[in-house]
Amino acid sequence: MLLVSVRAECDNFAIMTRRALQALLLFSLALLTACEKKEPATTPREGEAAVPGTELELLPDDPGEGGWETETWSAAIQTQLNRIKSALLDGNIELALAGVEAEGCQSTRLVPKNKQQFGDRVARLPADTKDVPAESFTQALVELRELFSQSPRHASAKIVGISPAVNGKADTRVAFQIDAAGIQVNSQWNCRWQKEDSNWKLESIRLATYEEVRVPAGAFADATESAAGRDATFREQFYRSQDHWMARIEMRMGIDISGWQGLAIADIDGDGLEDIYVSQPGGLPNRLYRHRPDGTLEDVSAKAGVDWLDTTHGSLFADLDNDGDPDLLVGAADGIIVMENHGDLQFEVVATKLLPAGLAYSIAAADIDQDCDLDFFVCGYTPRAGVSRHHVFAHPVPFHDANNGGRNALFRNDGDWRFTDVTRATGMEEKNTRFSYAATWEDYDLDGDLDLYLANDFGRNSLYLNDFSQSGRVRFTDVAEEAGVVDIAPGMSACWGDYNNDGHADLYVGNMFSSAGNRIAVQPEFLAGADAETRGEFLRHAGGNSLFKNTGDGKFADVGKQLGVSGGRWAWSSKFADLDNDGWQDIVVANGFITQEDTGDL
Amino acid sequence: MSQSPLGEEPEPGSTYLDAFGELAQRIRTGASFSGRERNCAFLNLGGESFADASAALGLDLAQDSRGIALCDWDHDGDIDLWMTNRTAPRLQFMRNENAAAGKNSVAFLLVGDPQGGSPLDAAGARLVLSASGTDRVQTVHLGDGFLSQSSRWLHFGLGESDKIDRVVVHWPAGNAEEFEGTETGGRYVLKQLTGKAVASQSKGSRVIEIRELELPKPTALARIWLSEPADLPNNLTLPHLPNGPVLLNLWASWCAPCLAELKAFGAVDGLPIVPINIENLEGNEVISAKEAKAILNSAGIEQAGGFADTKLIEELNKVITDRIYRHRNLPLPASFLLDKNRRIRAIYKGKGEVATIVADLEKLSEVNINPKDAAVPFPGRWSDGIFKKHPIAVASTYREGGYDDDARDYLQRSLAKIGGEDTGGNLRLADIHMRLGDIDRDAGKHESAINHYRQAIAGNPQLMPARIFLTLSLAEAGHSKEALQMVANLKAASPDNPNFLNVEADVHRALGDEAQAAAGYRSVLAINHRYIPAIEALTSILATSADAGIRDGVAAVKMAEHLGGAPGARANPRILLTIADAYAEAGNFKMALHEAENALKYLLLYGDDQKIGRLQKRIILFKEKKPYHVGQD
Repeated sequence: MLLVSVRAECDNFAIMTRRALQALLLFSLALLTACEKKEPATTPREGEAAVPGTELELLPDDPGEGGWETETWSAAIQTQLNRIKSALLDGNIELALAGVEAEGCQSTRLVPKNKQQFGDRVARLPADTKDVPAESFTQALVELRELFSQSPRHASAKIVGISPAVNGKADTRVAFQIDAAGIQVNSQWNCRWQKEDSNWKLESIRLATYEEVRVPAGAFADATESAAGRDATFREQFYRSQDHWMARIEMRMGIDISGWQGLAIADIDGDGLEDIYVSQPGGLPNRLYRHRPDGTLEDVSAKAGVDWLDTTHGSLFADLDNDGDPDLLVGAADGIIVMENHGDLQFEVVATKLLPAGLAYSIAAADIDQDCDLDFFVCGYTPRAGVSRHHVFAHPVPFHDANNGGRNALFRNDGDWRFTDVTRATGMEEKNTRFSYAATWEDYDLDGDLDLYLANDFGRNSLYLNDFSQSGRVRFTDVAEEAGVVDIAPGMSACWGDYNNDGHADLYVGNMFSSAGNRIAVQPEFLAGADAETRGEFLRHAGGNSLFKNTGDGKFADVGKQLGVSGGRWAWSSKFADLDNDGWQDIVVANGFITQEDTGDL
Repeated sequence: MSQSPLGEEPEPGSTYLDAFGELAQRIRTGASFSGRERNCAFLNLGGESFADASAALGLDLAQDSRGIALCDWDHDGDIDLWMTNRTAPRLQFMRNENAAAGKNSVAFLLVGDPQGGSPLDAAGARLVLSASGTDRVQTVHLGDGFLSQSSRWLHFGLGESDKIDRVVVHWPAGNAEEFEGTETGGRYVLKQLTGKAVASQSKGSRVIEIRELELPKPTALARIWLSEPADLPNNLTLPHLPNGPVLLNLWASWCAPCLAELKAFGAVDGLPIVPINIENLEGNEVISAKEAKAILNSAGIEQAGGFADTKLIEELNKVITDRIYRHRNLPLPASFLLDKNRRIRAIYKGKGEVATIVADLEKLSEVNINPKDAAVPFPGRWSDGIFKKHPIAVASTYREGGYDDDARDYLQRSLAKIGGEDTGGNLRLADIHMRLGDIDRDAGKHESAINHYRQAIAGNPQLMPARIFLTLSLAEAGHSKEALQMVANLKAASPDNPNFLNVEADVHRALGDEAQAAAGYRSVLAINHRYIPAIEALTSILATSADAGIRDGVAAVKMAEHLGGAPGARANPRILLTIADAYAEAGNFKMALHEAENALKYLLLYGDDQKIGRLQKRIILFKEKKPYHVGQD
């Protein structure tokens, strides 16, 4: 049969080859965050075919390989959870549940009777609840389903903890979520499973936490088509995924699959409406979109001279010459391009700063020495990779506490478009190669000068305390350890904001939350022989985002888990914002690493 | 691992790299990795806890999102979101539909004033808004999150408060300023030192009607133009190819799109198509030459074409996988555009567009086209040539940051790369040695510096700075005879050149002969009385010489007054200190202290600890009313 198209049955990296797993204890947590969903196997499209001999060879997928018995169980139990999920989505509960419950399955209600109200939008199972009333499992699900007047949009049930119980049974903690427009339910179920033949059956299920959120339907609407859909460059370029372009643009143009491209907003032409500059992967030109009075986007990239085809990740608008309009910093492969805003939508290259030992990521500006001009910091995430730019992954050593990344750089503004690298002169050279992704300035200790927080991948974050107001010296000392914000984890993003309105800037840090990582890092087989501290650091790597409460004495306390904001999945940008104008800073998190759709390839 | 733009690759072989490689390969072949994750939004419940409201708010997008930039795009009083994604749409706008917005919020744009110690953008300025007994605080951030910059406007939700009690801005230099005249629902510009909130004149853009996102369907059809032509191996089995460019077309009799494509190609006069059937790959005759020809003829194609073997398919596929990240099966149909030299220039996956192929054939003969521009789908500009990346520039970059070891290492590796064969001419080699000499001289490695300067001169005898610095290095290393000989040689060509006279004085000073040096600097100043380096050196000798017979406080102060007028002198801690030394020698300790403290102010900002320590000691000395003389510390 010639018409064969072989594809991955499952993308689960947790279950790569034995060699990879065993040799790679260190990397396994990252691997384990891999998706647990199967892609639909594609059938060849009508009339198109693969040329024989070009099919892909795939590795055998067996979760049991490498000794993770509980992972084999997890995989099997997950299929049962998926059936519960579909039962709720389809509404055909009794039918779909056949074969899920064990004989005499014990269940509690899954929607509590006594809910504690938090404002008018949130209701929860009271924290002091000892016993949730019993209910048949089917009836419990029916009640859950009845919260929704129409079909729920999504549901998810993820195993975030698994441990063996008596008689070969398994206890799991399941993070469950179901939602429709304007309503969602977030719960934790504690389930016990028993093995019958080859299937795991539900012996008991207990509601551990319950949160019901109701907001007016359609709080946010996707207005992309309205604002941008009429611009030809937008349609042609941004309505296509990175994968689309990866299939058409050579790697040597600088494109890679990661999609680490950001954006900057500022009013570039002084009309009171904010405009957008967006980075693109190599081979696609960066775009500057002017905000028209009718709310739509107008492409002015070529006219403005900012349509760089090089790979760029981060950019920043900053009025570097204090003339009242935002100038532009663009992080290219070789370094920073400094462009002066001449007004009339014209930008001109007025300086470049080579970064010979780092690749530019996030850029953040502040006046560090109070000479009334803006200085800027550039994260140099990875050492320059040389000619091939398509390495998706950095090479951290050691994985969980790496210091072999690219060199960050702090540039002092000397006026007349001259900038001097003062990283070393200001003491920032210390711990300066920790795979920094993001940087943000804030006077967190209210001493009258600006300090810098860095989110670093693969390890410890940095908090550089500026000594300027104390000594007149622009000297930075990393006080992350004393301040309690080391946050050993894959740091992706950071932002400051006062979440509890106590006048002190708190800190939210985007990391990775991994269900699989949380399951595995607590198993005895994981890093067998390693000390408790190392094991703890690995568990922390899968633990998710952190919210650091500023206690006002130069120290912070991580309240992320306690306050319910750690589960941000594989996070990228994160940001405080009062989304509902209630006077309290909410949090938004962008996430997801690589979703490859069937783009029509064979 | 490479730390440099020289372009080395990381070394393969470690377990890490193997594993990363394995992972990368799976992704290249289509696997997802932590995909289909939904974005999160957490609602703050009075600072006590947060509720996961991602879905309820409609922000639970399944895109692989990256950046988030906030702004009130339509000025309707609530925060909207612009996001970048890896998946389509790669830029996305989520509009906040908060119905109550406009009444329960207020927004501010902070504009600093250098008179008040703040840059115009006011980065780091902190606004404290008091309403209903609660203080709410926000700071202006230029860049945060991940690769993102949100609006500089500070947006405050006010909840139940219908009145603003107080607005205070703490500017980045620490000074606080209260602003009057703000009301709920407004948008205000707060200019530093004005104390008055001014309502923004901008009305905001019209609120646009929401239309559903219409993303195009994914397509397998692809055209790849290669930036560098790809050679095919010589030993391939190919049918006879006509002269000039050709279009190799892979087809099969059972492939309907192939047949349709052949028909379209057949209808174009003179299209140099060479059809290659893939049905007989294994060597057995699945389709005969006669059958193939009949199908081609019925499609209007005269050329008999040929049959592919596995090797040909492998090589064609390799051209793609070597250049394109995504590894997918080679589809049918597929076409390869070869130029007259039999090199692959373009690849068409799936059915090719006739018009595109005809245009591409013409493009083959275009000569003035940048190969990189030809290979990208949309026009734009490259940063090529904008960055100076030659070894000297890279080394200067390192030195600017104080990374002298990296600069030396980089230059030495560049030398090793050039070897004896300096393709850029001896000049370049000489320049590299010159910079190496400078680095070593600054580090006090005189012998090594001398060696590099000699090689620089050997490479380029015209390189005057190398001669001068060799002379000075020789003197600093105590090679008096040769240093003086070099000075004599320099002066021989132009005896009255103040530059050379100054070098001569510097040499005497380095050799410890301050009397000769002072005389030398005086002769420089006799020719050019504004020669700053000579003024500075002479002032210093007159003020701080260990020899009381040479010191002259009155003359030193007179010189120092000239020196203070030099451009940039008032912000140069070294010059300020020399001026201070002159006053101290003349017994004017008040001025000496004043200038030394000036110097300290500048040195403190970015100066190194050693220099700061020396200066602080000097200040103590002046406070004790003692002048400083060389050798006393």
